[in-house]
Parts: sequence; C-alpha cells; structure tokens
Amino acid sequence: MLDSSNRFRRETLGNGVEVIGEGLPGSPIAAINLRVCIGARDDPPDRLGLSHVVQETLLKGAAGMDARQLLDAFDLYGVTRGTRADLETIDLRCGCLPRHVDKAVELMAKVIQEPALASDQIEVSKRLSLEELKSLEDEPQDKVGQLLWQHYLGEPLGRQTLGTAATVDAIEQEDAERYWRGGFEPRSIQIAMSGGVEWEDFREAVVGAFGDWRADESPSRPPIPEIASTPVHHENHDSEQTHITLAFPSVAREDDDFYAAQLAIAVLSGGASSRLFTEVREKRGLVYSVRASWSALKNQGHISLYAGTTVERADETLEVCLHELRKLRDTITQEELDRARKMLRGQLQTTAELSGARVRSIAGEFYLTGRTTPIGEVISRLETTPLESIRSYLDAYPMTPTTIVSLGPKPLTLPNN
Amino acid sequence: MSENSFVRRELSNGLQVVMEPMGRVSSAAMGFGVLTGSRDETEKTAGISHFLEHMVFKGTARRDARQINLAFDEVGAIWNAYTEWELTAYYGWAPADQTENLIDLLSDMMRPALPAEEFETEKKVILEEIAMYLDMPASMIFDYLMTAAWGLHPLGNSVLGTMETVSGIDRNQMKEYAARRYQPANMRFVITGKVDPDQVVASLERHVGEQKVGGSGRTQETPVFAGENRVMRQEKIAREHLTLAWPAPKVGDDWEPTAQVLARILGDATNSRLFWSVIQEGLADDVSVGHFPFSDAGMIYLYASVDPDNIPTVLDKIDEAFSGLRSGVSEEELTRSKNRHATGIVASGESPMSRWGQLMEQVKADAPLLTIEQELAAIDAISTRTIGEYLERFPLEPSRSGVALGPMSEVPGLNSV
Repeated sequence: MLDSSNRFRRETLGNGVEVIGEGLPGSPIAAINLRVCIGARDDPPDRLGLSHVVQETLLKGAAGMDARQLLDAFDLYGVTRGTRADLETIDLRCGCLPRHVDKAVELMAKVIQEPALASDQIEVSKRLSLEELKSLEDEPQDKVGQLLWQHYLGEPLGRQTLGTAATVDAIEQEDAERYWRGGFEPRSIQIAMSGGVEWEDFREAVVGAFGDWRADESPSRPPIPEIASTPVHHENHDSEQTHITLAFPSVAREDDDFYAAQLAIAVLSGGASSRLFTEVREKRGLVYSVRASWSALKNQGHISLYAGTTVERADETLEVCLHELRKLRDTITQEELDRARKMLRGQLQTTAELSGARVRSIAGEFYLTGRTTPIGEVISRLETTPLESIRSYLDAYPMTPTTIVSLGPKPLTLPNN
Repeated sequence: MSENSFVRRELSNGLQVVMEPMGRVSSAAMGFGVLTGSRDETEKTAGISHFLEHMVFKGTARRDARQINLAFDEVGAIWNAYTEWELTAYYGWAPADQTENLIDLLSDMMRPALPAEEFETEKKVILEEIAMYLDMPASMIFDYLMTAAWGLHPLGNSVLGTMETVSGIDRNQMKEYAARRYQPANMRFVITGKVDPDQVVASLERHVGEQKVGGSGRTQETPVFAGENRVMRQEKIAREHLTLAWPAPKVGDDWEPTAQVLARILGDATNSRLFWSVIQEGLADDVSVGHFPFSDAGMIYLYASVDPDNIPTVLDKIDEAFSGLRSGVSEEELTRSKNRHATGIVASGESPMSRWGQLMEQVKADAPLLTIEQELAAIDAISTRTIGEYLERFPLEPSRSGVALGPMSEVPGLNSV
C-alpha cells in the first residue's frame, strides 16, 4: 500500500557521487538511472552535437571490451540499457532483475568511468546523428518542438541536442575524449534506483563500483546562460497539417509556486474536461492533438503548448488557444481546481508503484532541486494549494506567449499585439 | 515473485470477464474490448469502427459528452481507447477505490447514444487525426503493409479509413453498426491489479447485466498471406520508409514465444543481427523487427527508415540477416536474446496497465492465458533445435510482403510487375 512515509534513502559518497534509492517492496524489477550533469549546453559552439555523439558511443566499448563484448556482458544478466542526451544532462538507464543489481551497477560504472570512445566508434555515432537529423524531416511534431526551443530559449539553452550536419561532421575523437574528461567525474554523477532492492544492497553495489573513482579535474560548469527569445518564427514544410507551438516562462521546480503552476496547467490541459481539450477539440473539432505542459531546466521552468490542425483552420486554432490562455486567470473555478487535484492524485498514485516511472521522476527532481519529495507530500501540497495561490501564480507568470513557432505550408496570421 | 492466477467468469448475458489479481499493487487497470475493428468493415464504411470509438465518448442515455469527460477526471484515471484491425478497446487505470466508478462509467459507454449534434464535430476531429498520420510516414506505412500482406482479405483493411470514406459515413450507418457489434457476447472485460473478483462481477452484473443476450461474432475465412509488394512514391517524404512482412504464428499459438525471440535475434534495438549490420554500421538510425499476431493469422514485420542512397545496401543487409538463419543460431546468441526478452516480460508484470494490454491481446483471440511465470517458462524452453523447427513451419525466406514509402520510384525487390 502507498503510505506517506518517506521511502527514500540518500547518501553522498566520499568522492561526491550522489546515491538515491527508493525501495518498492515486492517489485520484480529494479530500474536504475545514472545521470551525468553535462549535456548539449556544454558543447563547444563549433562542435554542437558532441554530447549526443559521446552518449551514443558510451555503449560501444568500455574497460577493454569492444562494443560486442560490452553488450554481451549486459545480455548475460538480462540487463536492459539505454542512453540519452539532453540539454543539461546525459542519462544511462538500466533495468534488471533485483538479484542482478550489483552486475548492472558494475557494468554502468565501466561504461561511465572507462568508456573506450574509440575513433571508429565515434565515426559510427556521427553517422547515426546525421541519419537522425534527416529522419526529423519526416517527424513534424518533433521537429516543430525543437524549433520552438531554439527560438524561445535561444543559444545555448535552446540548442537541438543533435547539433547540425556541419558541427557533427567536425567532431573528432579528441573532442569526445576532452568532453568526457571535463564532465564525467564523481561530483557530476547522480545514480538513482527504484524497485525491489533493499537500500543496503544497492548502496553496497554503488560503493563497490564507484567508491574508489577519483577524477583528475574538478568540473567547472559555466553559469546558467541568459534566455534569448525571438517572438515569431515560421518554417515552410510540405505537410497536411500546420504544427503550432508556443512557450512562455513558468516557475522552477524548487519554487514555492510549483504546485500552483501544476494545478493551473492541469485545469488548462490536464484531462478530458480541461479547457484546451474542451474548447479546441470537443466544441470546435479543430484538432486531434492539443496539449500544454510544464518542463524544467535547472533553476527555471517553462510552459509550452502544441496544436496540430489542417492549414485553413490554423489561424482559428491559434486564436482559440490564445483566448483560453488569456482568460484562465480570471475564470478558473473552485470546482475545476478540485477536479484537477483528484485527477493528479489518481495519476500519481497509480504510477507510484512502477519502478521505471518512479526512477525517472526521482532522478529528475533530484537533479533540479537536490532533493526528492515523497508522493504523499506532493499530494498533500496539491490538496492544500488554494485557488488564491493559483491566481497569484498567474499574476506573476501570465500565460502570455513569448514565442510562437509554426511548421507547415503557410505562415500563421497573428492577432494584433 | 507473484503467485498470480486468473479468474474467469461469464455474466448471464454472455459477457466474458477475465481477472488477474496482482499481489503488490493498490491500483487496478480495467476495460472493455469489443471484438470489432477494421476487418469487420466494408470498403464504403472504412474507418467506421474508429469513428465509433470516438463517438462512444460523446454521450449515453445517462451522460452527455461533458459528463463523460468530467467523470474520467473525477476518478483520476489514466485512460484511453484504441481501435485496431480486430479490436476496439476502452480502458482506465486508477487507484482501486475507484473501480466501482470506472466500471459504472465504462459500462455506460458501451451503450453509446451517438448524438446527432456531436457527430459532425467529431468527424472533423477524425479528419484531423487522418491528416496528422499522413504527416507521419513511419505510422502510415503499417496500414499500407497490412493491405500488401493480406491482400483483399478484410484483415488488410485500413483502420483509419480515408478522408473520403470517413466523410461519407452517416449516423444511421453507425447506429446500425454499433447495434450489431456492441453486444455483450461480442465483448470482453479484463481487469488486472488490486481486484476483488466477486465485487467486480457483482458490479458488472449491476451495470451491464440487463443488456440483452446476443452478439453476431465474426465469420470470416482464415486470412491467407498475399505477399504483395508496393512502392509508394511521395516526393515530399525525406527518408525511404521500408516495411517487410513474413507469415508467422497467430495469438496463442505454441510457436508465439519463439517468434518473439526470433524477432529479437534479428532486429532488437540492441545486440541483434540487424543492429550490428545496419545501425552499428551507421547505415540507418532505425531498424526493428517484431512479431505481430492476430486471432487467426500473424506476421513477423521489419521496419526501417533509410536514406534513399543507402537503400540497396540496407536491403542486402536485411537479406543477409534473414538468410543467415539458415546456418542456425548459436547457443550464446539465443541465450542473450532470451535474457533480454525475459527482463521485458518481468518488467511488464510490474504494471497493471501493461498486463491489461497483454491479456486483452490474448482474450480477444480466445487464446490460453499465461501467467508471467508461464511466459518465462515458455521462453526458457526455446532451444536452437526448436528455432530450426519454427523456421521449417514459418519460413522467413521465399514469401514476403513489402512496402516502401518515400521519394524513390523503384526499390530493388519491391517493384511488382
């Protein structure tokens, strides 16, 4: 049963590695998320896409094993694995049976501490990045999302992690080596686990595999850069639909108003009875997909919206979305707030027992705030945030788009102001 | 691990109920599968099952569309619906104290009122959904592959239909179709997680028990693999999207686990034959192989997204990987794929929602149900010898279907004369 007691355990090893665990008693699986606090934001401007290439190459050989030997070693114990590069972080994610958690952690340590980063493997990763860039042309929803962040956050925070064909092409083995040396060190590692493993067993595995790791260099991450937005951008694309996105600032994860922001977003776009779904899809049939969501970088949060509609209905769709954003502050009701709370509570409770969902949530919050909030506390914060706090949050962070980006056959006609 | 087992009941009106109580969780995933889909449609009404799925959310005798949406949010459910070739499913996943409310809501929805004032608005949403998929060649191509693989048999029908067929569907046609197909004996109810079987059955008797006995079932000849090939040129698509299909076991066939493991050997996302010969060579960023079973037929499919310049090489690599099976599979290679597959099975057993989806697949075909332990035992029993036997029964060479969608007008081996 779900209880409100804190099931988290946390320890900072002597060398700086952060270890966080959440036991899910009886879970048949363990999910582990190892986060390295370096990402696309840290790519040299003439080597954009470097963090993506490094991430792609991590599983292509380590600790004297070539790519095949390394993957065979994972498969020997049925350890699933994957990597991803984001703007601020690189993640190595593994899943295994609880009894193999020590083997999984040991392999993860090899991948992070002793990656081969061989030059022929770097070349493979570069080719894959170039292929992915080309694939993006056939995935307009992903593409417009990337264009939005580029124009809303600007350089470097809005970077596309894949980089560009020219900057990827310029990457050499030494670049990858230097990137790894500069960012992969104990103080930038956060390793989180959720699942059917006792804290002591997980801790012991991490201490055994990471405890003796010493780095040559101390990390020096530049301060968080400023946002540099452009207000409007359209990119022509021969598509059936016009893909519309927009974004504006919200609170950071650690902000007191975080829960007010989550509730405001839930009323706007959380469920079937939310404002956007009702007004844009249910009443007018303008779209199949319309959604708004909150997302965060370190010390900052943002809200973005997506709507996809056929060309001749694009202007009306944007107009209805903007109208709903504008009027939320003055029209939000207690009834809607209560429903949003119930919805969020139900969804939190159901996913609270899944190790994969939990570990991503824990790793994400820990990176942003240095702590983890028990689900019981999240629920009680949501339940005690009054309507007044949501209004004052919306006063401080009005839902006024900073940037509007579209992708499709024809630019949008933007309303005045 | 769990000692889960199944509880099966049949209501007096013919509704079959399948329950899997799961020991450690406090939520339940549940829903109806209606045994109807695109294979039950005519050429003129292509897309009517999917359109009806949308209309099911638009009102009943007791609730209008708004009230249905409000009810889902009040429950705090993670919910959705989907339509495929032979099934239309409606589900919700919520804390177990909401089971009664969800059964009430979902049962009510199985008797849709199809209100006239919602019909045309929702038609617009469907047309937007079709437009959205037309912008996503990686999804659309599977619709085309089904037609190529199964030819004129109704299993080859398109799930979405076309803009033309959907525009032409009228409300009376839908009323007739719903009355004929949404009958208790033509439905299944599946629930997994924290479940009290007696309470669930009592609740279902209350909410659907009075519905009359009946159900038209489906009488169709067993699909015969047509093995057609198609090159569909669309210049605006950047990549060449490629799908291939081979005949394979149906749902519940004793050979199904072998087909799943064989798909992993060939085209798993990591450490598979095609991973090494295509991805690891930087020839394409996405190649996958999977088993796609239906109630009376099945196929192994391959999907790849490829730069047109690389198509000839990639097709050679695919042929090599498949014909290479003639010289057998090594013990080590088999063990590695089995281990990866087993971890996936165990992980899915953690989540009531994943289990619900898996069980509904078995239930829709009246196939035997396997517990996680039984699934693992079936995987364990696969040997290099049984792989050989499988390939004699379901050869992966002479007859295959293929569809290419992209800028190319000719694709080696796919242009039918």
